[in-house]
Amino acid sequence: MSKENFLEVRGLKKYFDAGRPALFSRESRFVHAVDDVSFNLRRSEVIALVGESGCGKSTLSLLLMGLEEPTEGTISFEGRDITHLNDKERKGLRRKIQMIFQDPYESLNPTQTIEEIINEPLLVHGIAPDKSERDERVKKAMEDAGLKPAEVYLYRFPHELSGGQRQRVVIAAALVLEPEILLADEPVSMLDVSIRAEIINLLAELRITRQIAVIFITHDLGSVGFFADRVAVMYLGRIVEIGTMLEVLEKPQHPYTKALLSVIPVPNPRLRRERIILQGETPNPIDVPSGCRFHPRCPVAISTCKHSDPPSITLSKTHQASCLLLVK
Amino acid sequence: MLIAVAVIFANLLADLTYNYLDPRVNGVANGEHNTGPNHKTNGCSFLEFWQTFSKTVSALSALACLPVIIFLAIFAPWIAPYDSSSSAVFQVGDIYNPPSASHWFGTDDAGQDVFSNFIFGARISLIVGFFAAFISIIIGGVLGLVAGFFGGRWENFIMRFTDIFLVIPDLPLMVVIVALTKPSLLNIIFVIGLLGWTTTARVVRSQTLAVKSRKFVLRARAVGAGNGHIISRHILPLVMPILVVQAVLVVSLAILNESALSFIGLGDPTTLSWGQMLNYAFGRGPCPLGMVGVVLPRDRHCMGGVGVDPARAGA
Repeated sequence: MSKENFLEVRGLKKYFDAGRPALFSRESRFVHAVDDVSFNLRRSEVIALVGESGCGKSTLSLLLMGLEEPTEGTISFEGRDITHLNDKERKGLRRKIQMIFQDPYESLNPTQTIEEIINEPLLVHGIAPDKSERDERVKKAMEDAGLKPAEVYLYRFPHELSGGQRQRVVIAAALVLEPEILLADEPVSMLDVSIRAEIINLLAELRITRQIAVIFITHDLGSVGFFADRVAVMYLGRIVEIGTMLEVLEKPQHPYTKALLSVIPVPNPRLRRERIILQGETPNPIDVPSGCRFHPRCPVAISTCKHSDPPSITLSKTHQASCLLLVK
Repeated sequence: MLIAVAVIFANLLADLTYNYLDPRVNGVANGEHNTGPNHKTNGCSFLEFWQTFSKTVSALSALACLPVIIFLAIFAPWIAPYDSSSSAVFQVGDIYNPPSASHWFGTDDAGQDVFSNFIFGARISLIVGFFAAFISIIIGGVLGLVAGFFGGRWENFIMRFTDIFLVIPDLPLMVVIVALTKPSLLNIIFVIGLLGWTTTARVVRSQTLAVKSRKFVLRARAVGAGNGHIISRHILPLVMPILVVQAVLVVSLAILNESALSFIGLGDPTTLSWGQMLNYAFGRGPCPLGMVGVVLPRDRHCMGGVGVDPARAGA
């Protein structure tokens, strides 16, 4: 197993059936939620998946978790194809890949205590049949997730905790299985700004202490800056630019990435850049624009953009972007 | 005669208070009708439940009534002054006696003590009520959960099946089935139980759908939990409150249905329930003094209704 192929996604597509446009139409229409996405994840690497609402980030995370069946494409983990698995194999894999959900207010069962919530994965997988051993693991996961001392929180209910504490509970419930990949689907978007940094620091710490690879899904480019190794920018179900954090944040090549970066607030007024405000709405993912899917909103589009879909252009060993203007 | 009039008057009073106490009138009017189970914070649900419950007059009076009736039913042989099942020889003078110190509610056409019959009647009414409700809740709960959780073709099939049962008028169908089969206690329980599950199924299904779409169910799936685990740990605890409320409702409905069946003469002839007493009193010639026999079972009947109904108002 090479280090490169820890988690590998190739040509992944997910179309949701949106029904037929009219009563007597033959063909139904599809929402192109994820449309031909490829990337790979190395061991204990943090990759940030950035994009605006509705660009398919969350669908991608559900696909990686096996909570949705992909329409096309393959996902392989440690060299093994995990695109289609039966229930038993999928369950085994869940120990390796865990997920943190966006909304900590909704993702905890209000009738369970914190101890029950974090214990549940162990029970489900039949890990540590011994009660005291389970307690030990629950406490360790809680303390790793920053719920210290664990005893204080064990027998509380979710509604007695703050948003940040709840998100830590969700993280602890994922950590208790000792996963190798953590999918974080906008883990901080529902939290106060002051708590966000804490949670991101926590994830950064876990990546060092537990060697966990993290796929960090966010719509906020600013929050990933100091934390991610690589950044992938998604637009309308496709990755338009991917590269190391420095490459993407310092030398963005795709006009969409440039627009995203230009609106991050900069504290120093002398360093303020010209903001690129995108015109128009995000196109409907049912009717994806022809040619380059970004061309209706692109400030630098040329006539050919309307007709030809840009290929992925390799800019460096790690940096790729899909834009016709980069073709030389 | 005088006593009979007094009893009728008292009964009227009881009916009026019943109307006042009825949660459907009371609760909706002053907006206290609490739909407890839908509360978002279920952490200390019992405390919350009790806070609303203790503020509602009808709920508290129900809480007082229900144990009394259950107590009467359980300890009937010790409480009742006369054994209603005894075949003691009665003389003409014992028939249709007005209430007196020895016979509080008077005697009926067979010279039996009406008060004792009430107490024994409570047993049958409650037995039918609880067992029929148990059957209804099990069927309705399982079908509702399966339909709501698994969805798709099964849901369609189960809910259309439920709709069919829902539109059949219950009472006429019960009459037909009980008339065709033997009107025994067991048959009556089964008929009432097998026809009373439809609302439960619908309510449970809708609640299941609501719970199923919440994020913690998705998280449980991501953790690796199977359907059985998700239903028992995540869906059922949040459907339970609504199921309990529904159970209370179904118990009171089942008691009413049993009385209705007995009243039209389809009760188990070997047992004595409240409805049966009404039937006898109605059919065997209520002379002015015998009015007592007609009126009192209704009164107790109301009590049964009052006892079970408002308990649901608080919940």
